[in-house]
Amino acid sequence: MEIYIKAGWKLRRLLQPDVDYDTRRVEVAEGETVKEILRTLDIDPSEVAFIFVDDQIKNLSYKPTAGQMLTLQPPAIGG
Amino acid sequence: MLSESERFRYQRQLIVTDWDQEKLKCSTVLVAGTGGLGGVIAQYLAAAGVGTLRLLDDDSVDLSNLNRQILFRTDDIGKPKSILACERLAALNPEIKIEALVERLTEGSASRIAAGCDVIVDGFDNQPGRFLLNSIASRMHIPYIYGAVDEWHGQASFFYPPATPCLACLVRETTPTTRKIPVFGAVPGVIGSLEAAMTIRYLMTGETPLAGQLLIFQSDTMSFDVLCFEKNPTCQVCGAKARAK
Repeated sequence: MEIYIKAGWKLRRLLQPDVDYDTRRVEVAEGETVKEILRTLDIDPSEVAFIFVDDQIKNLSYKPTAGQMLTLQPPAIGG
Repeated sequence: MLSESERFRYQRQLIVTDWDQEKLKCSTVLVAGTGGLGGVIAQYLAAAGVGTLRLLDDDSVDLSNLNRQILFRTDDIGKPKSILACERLAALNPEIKIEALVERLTEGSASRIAAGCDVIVDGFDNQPGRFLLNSIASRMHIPYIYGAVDEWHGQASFFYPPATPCLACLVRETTPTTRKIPVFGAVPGVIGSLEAAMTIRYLMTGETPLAGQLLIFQSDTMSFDVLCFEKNPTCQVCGAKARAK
């Protein structure tokens, strides 16, 4: 199945977007977790601070469904 | 009641729609940190005439701060930030009251430090400090205006549980805290300005446009995005169980 992943700043470079400047279309197996998907994409899950899906925060064990858009954000800690 | 000199000083903002200078004058704001974010926040709040500013920072100025901490100068190195900030802001606006606290925020000192504040504004540069601010704000029922930066991006939000989610609803997993955070001045400048604007708007109108939303600014693409999020019912800080304690 196909899902879409959108990523902010540092993660965007790792994601290698192909739909537009920050979004990539990804083919994943049903039941695959976000953590597994990130590993396939060579993105270190510890670099992801927030995962948003449909206005809800999800964790790395979330299993996306077909057509969903995942938004990944790196941490911001400084001031 | 505004004095003649206040009416003259603030004349350009007194004609801003919805502006309420009296409310600002009667307000007390805790600015936690006076560095990259906090320095910008404190300057705009002081210039706008927030009646009492409480500036919290236990750190001293270091040469490596000066690429982004615009309240300070090279000859300030080694001097305490909150005292310097207090002096600079008093020179900017002698009509307001400014308190400098050269101390670290702890569970023990928090109630005293935040007592009487209408808003807590985040100018911290570390995650443990933010979590402590969040928990204090939730416990004392004070709105907490959040901001953070990292490299080319920054984030801002408004937390005021139980009406809104809190920081702990947003950040549930551990994020790395030991690395040196890459930052240049313009990004905390933008996020600090947004925090100051949010504070002023809230103090005067009670409006909370970023409640339940995370604003993300990315300076590499010059984009602003807003992501919505909901309360975590099992949140350790603002969830039903935590509130019942």
